[in-house]
Amino acid sequence: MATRTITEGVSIARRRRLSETYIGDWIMTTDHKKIGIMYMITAFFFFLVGGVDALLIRTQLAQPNGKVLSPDVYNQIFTMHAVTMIFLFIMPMLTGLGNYIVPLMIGARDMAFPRMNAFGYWVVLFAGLFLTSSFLFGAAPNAGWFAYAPLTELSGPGTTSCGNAVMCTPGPNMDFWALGILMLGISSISASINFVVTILKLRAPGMSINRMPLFTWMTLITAFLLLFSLPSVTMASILILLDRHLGTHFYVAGFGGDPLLWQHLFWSFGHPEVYILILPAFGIISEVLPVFARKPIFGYTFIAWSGVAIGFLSFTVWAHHMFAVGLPLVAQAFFATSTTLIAIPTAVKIFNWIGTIYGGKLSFKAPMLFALGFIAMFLIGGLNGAALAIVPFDYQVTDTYFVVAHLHYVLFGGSVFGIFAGIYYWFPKMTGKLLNERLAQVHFWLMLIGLNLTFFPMHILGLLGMPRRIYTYPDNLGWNELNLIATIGAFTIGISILVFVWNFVVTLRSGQVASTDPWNAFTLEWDTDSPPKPYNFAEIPTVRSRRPFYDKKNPETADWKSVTH
Amino acid sequence: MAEDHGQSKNPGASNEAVEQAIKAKQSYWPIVLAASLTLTLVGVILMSHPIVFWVGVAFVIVSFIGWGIERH
Amino acid sequence: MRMPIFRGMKRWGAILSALLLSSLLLAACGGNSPSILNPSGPVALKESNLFWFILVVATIVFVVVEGLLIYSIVRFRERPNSPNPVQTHGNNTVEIIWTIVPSFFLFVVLIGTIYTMFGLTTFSSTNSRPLQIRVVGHQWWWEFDYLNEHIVTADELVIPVGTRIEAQLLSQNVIHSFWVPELFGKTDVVPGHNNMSVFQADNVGTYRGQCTEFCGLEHAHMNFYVIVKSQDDYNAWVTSQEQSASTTPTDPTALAGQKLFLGSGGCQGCHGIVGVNLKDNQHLNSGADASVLVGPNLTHFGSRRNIAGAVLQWDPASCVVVTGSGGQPTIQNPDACGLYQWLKDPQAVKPGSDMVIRSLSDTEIAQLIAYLESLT
Repeated sequence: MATRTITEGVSIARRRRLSETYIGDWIMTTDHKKIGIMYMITAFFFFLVGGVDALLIRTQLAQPNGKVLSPDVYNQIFTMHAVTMIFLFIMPMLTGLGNYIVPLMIGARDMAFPRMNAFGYWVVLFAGLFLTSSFLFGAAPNAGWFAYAPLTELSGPGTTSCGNAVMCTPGPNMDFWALGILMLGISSISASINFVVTILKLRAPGMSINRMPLFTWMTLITAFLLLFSLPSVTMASILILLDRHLGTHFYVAGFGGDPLLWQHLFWSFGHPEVYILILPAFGIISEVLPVFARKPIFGYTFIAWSGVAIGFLSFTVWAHHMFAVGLPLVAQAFFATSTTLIAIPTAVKIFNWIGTIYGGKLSFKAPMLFALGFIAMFLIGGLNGAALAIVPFDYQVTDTYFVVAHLHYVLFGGSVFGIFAGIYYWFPKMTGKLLNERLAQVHFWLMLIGLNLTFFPMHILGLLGMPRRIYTYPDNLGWNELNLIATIGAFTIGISILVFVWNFVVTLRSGQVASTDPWNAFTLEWDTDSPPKPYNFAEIPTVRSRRPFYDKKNPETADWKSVTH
Repeated sequence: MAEDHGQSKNPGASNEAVEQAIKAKQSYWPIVLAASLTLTLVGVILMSHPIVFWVGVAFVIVSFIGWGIERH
Repeated sequence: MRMPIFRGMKRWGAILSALLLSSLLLAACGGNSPSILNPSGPVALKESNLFWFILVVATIVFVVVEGLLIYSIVRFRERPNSPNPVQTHGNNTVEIIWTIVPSFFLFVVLIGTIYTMFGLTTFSSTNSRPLQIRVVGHQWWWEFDYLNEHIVTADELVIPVGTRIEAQLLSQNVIHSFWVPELFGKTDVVPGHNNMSVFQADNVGTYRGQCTEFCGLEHAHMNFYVIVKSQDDYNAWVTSQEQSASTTPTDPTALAGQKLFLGSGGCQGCHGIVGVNLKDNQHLNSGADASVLVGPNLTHFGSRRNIAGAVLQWDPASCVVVTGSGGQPTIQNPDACGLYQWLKDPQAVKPGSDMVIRSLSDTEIAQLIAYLESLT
């Protein structure tokens, strides 16, 4: 934290202002670095919450006819596991990393709208507490993270209350969900506007759009995705609140409404959302690989453009989540086509990343381990995702554990590995300390093994007919062993996280001090103190290539001397 | 922001002044508006006691105004 | 800095991959599992063939790309004397090739996908007449209506082998999904929509079906069985199912059970038996007469073995009615009798289900079981 000089008056015998206390400084800060840290700490806390949800689920499912959780509690836990991980962990974590790093990367002193930046963070914190507090009322959201109507309606048509079982989900559970989503949407919109303006207007002189780091590119595309997709889910949430409380029937058949309206609206957000969750991770990988391979990213232009292509195409594939709902065959064929199309830019990136390390000089420090693990795991997620686009096969495996396998390979093997790559990479910049390498290795290998133990068997469970979202299963369907293996894997992941937390705590207390440039990196954020001064750069640099810091350190072999970008 | 080029050509004595000038100004309106918004949406859940909702709305309006007129 | 742990990496990789791949092969021997890879009908067969094709392609891609990755990791790891790498920024030709080639393969697969999609319900049947069924999703059990035969059952869908089945899917509550992995891929049951599932079973047997769209508290317990009979057996089944239940059972215990059924606060409040408290299956008529069942139709309950969303099974052999010590009827071995457990405490079996009944004594349960057994 920066030192402050009391410049007003000579007397120091007065009560400190709120803004001068430690807590007050953080509550009132508009500094993108502090806000980034708050985002990340909050996100990590919710990662642990979501992780506990996961362990509870896996404990219940470790054996057939499990009695660990009642169906009501189970349904709340599996819903909140997804809601927490997606909205309270991955999104705030990536926003936090972006918040901290992007202004530094582009040579700016802060985000374009510092107060709105802070606002976005506080909304996430309050929304997260709001959503999680629902557990205290025994009324956590319980109709799945994608909250299909009409299950989320408060009462069936023509009835004023819910009977013992009939038709709906009594209680405020899904109100928590809808309101939480609305709040988080407001936060994401404000963060996105901030990123768009900052990236488009505050780049250092000479940093044209095709010279800015790929993490910045991906953050920019993600921001646009958020801005264009959030209106769908915002509308959908408002409509379900109206249905629940004001007697409208948007999603209720028999009154002129249609349950499928929910699905179309939701997935019009939901699909871009998954790219929102992965694109910044793509950006992180594109920063880490070159540094630890000692050569530039292979095919910067292709990677940047494929990100843009994914951005546009992500709005054309939403109904691939709906292949089984009874859409006309021609419509299904359209979405199968668009989904195939979007696989192309995604695949190309993997080749570019391998092209980056090919011919390089690879050092396997922690960030690199996670970056390489990302490629290996995301490939699997991409392959089983492409399989899901094959519609008749999808008819069999949609809504089964095959999909659970897919989404965890891309979100955990993808986003989470990318996030850890970013954390290990930028931690020394943010704290001036280096996380312990040995512990990082233990974390990585345990997490990699745990990931595969947990989710690979789920491919098979899906093929063997195990549906999603069931709180238990019978003894005699051949699912027992694979479920047990998955549970063991989940606990392995849990242990790996504990190793990371231990590393984090111990390093902050007495870890190895880091130089300002421990990795010999290429981009501007490394040309600052560790942690950077409040004003980031003493002098805003002028940029002449995609690797301005590399150029500064290697003036003879600078990029701008050999290539024109 | 990007124009603050040659500011720290004089290190040492005027660093603190520079820090003051360039550092982002603190403000409590972001957290106040966030809290007001939360209160409003909690009020939707507690619609049996609409006072919560309307107090939240009032705070939101005050926050918008405060934010708008704050010197920054 | 060399990481010693990488020396073992190749071995690790081999072991891990072997484990994973062999576990996949285990899947094919699904045994009791309702596996999509044990197809017993033309639709599931096409879908399962597609899977094997996908598996081959995906494995090849995986081995090639992952292999390239591992090769690069091993070959280009930094060694004490390794020089600074050439600062290559990219290669347009290579990048264009590796964009176009996968695109080509992806589109070939897409064409195969679309072709299969449109031909999924084109198959030959030994029976020339399709069978029209109406499938109704309740919370949380499946109702099966045979529109032309005027039969209403639950939990078990009996069909003849080699016959094209056209199942209309209806729900008046929430979205469900109708799925029998060994016979066909799923179709959602959406309120307000008239989705249709077309399939056929080519082998006699029993196949497990499941609800596969989260539909509330007991979604996990909304299962059913498809029982495929030979044409003759099916015809015999239809004939017996079309009979009304007798109004006076001969066995006195069963008669007492019927009294319980019809008594005030009795089962007839939610369940119908044609010939006893129902004139016929009126709700099969469209229009003003159509009404939604609360509980399954019990007219021929005695011919079924699965109850309560196939959560429990029962049969006469495990639910023997004997005379107890007090001279009253009782069930010989209650723990082995699924029907006893259901009647004793349905909320313990399936918490949240609609079956909320007063506590029944063992005598009453035995009487009811005797009656239900008689409804063959």
